[in-house]
Amino acid sequence: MKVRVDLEKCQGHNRCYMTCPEIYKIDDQGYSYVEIKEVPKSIEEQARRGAEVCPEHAISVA
Amino acid sequence: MSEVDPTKEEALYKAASVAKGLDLMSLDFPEKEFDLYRVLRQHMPVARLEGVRGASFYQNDGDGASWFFSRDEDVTYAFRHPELFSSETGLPFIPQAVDPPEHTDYRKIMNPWFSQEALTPLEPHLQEFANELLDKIVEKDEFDFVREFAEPFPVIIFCQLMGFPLEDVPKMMRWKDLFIHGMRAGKSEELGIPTGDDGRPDMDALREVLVKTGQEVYAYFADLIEQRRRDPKDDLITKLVQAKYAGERSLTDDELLKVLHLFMLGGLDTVTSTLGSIMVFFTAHPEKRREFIELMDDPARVGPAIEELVRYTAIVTPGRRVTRDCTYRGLQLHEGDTVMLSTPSACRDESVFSNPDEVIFDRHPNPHLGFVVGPHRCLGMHLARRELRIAMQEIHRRMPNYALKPGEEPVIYGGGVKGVAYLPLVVGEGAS
Repeated sequence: MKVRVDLEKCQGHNRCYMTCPEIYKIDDQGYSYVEIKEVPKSIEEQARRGAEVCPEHAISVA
Repeated sequence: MSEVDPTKEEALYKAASVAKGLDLMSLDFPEKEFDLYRVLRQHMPVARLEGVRGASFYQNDGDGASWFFSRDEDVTYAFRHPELFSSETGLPFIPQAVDPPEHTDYRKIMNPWFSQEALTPLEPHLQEFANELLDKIVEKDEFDFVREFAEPFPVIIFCQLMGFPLEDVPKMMRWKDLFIHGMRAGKSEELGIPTGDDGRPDMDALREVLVKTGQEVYAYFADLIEQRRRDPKDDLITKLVQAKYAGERSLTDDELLKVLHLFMLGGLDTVTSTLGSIMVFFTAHPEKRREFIELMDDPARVGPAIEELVRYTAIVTPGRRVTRDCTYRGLQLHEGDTVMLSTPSACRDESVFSNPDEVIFDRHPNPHLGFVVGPHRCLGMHLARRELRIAMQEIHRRMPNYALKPGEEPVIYGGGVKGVAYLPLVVGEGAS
């Protein structure tokens, strides 16, 4: 599973980070980013929930 | 052949009459607001308001029509499209009344100050201060939660962060009340504004008071700015004075004043409103309070629980100005019209949230608009969340048993920023 944060849409709510800090990181401006290419199987569910909770719908899961 | 569906006709007629009479500022609005929003969401999601009193003094001040957006989808769309629904309503507030791209450059300065990481060191201080206030409260048999906790907790914290002198808090509270609540029925008289029999202020008198107050506010902040230039301190006024816009130039005096004016309004009112609203809910639903107490020490559960409480008690209905004539959902909007974007209604939208009128602490997904979405999402959201969580944890640790004072009712008000003016509680074993 891969997740991607659309930086055009992200407004820095940090809801993804609060849900799954292992995958979603926060930069100095407070916006989210993802470092790793493939989400480890063990936290797929949490990563997905992190995407679903975004009020800007800025995270896509593939 | 066109057929008339009598049920639908009736529903539309009802929605039209709701839209006609919608008045966020009236005294009886809070008790019926969610019924009214439900009707509008279902039958008139974009409602033209007739003879409306705007959500704030500034809204609907011109000749344009006023529209009320009640669905999550429309409210979200408007927040995300500043080129069509502009924040530039003529208010002297930076960055709130500025559109991108300038808005983005202002926010770049401020975002790092209000990031989760920047606020983490504040945690022990927040806990300590919450307990200091609670030390006094638990000594009493009864108290007003608003005056004893909901006001001082976020207000003092914010003033310390900003560098606003604490001895000036009463003065600043009056200023922010005039600007945010001066138009509200029931409040204007208390603020000393000539008020009619209907509880409404005389608008000319209010205008005059606000112009004069604006001058006082500017003179006061101009003085603080000057002090920090001479003698920098570890606070946000100093950071503002030293900030570089777009990495290039310092903020002008005019810009600094408009930022500080806005920060005063944003920082001294909203968390108070949410704390009061949550406690009104917990007072009326002791079973939910017990559920919260069960989960509040679990870091994985308390965050989502706070988000759910923010959704349920969403307080703001911001206004936007239509930038050009356009058709939206088949309706003709005109340049200069005002749209009111109801987050309290959007947060109860049944197409997004199942059982929207119920507090479900582990609700998922919960992509609520309580902090607004789009470029103007609440700058202080991470501070607000932290304050709300710590306040709720400490309150329920120190006084798990409380109840509304017998024979009394909370005073809840509507408007562009909703809130609670009075919440008399009794504490102790007997109260639950």
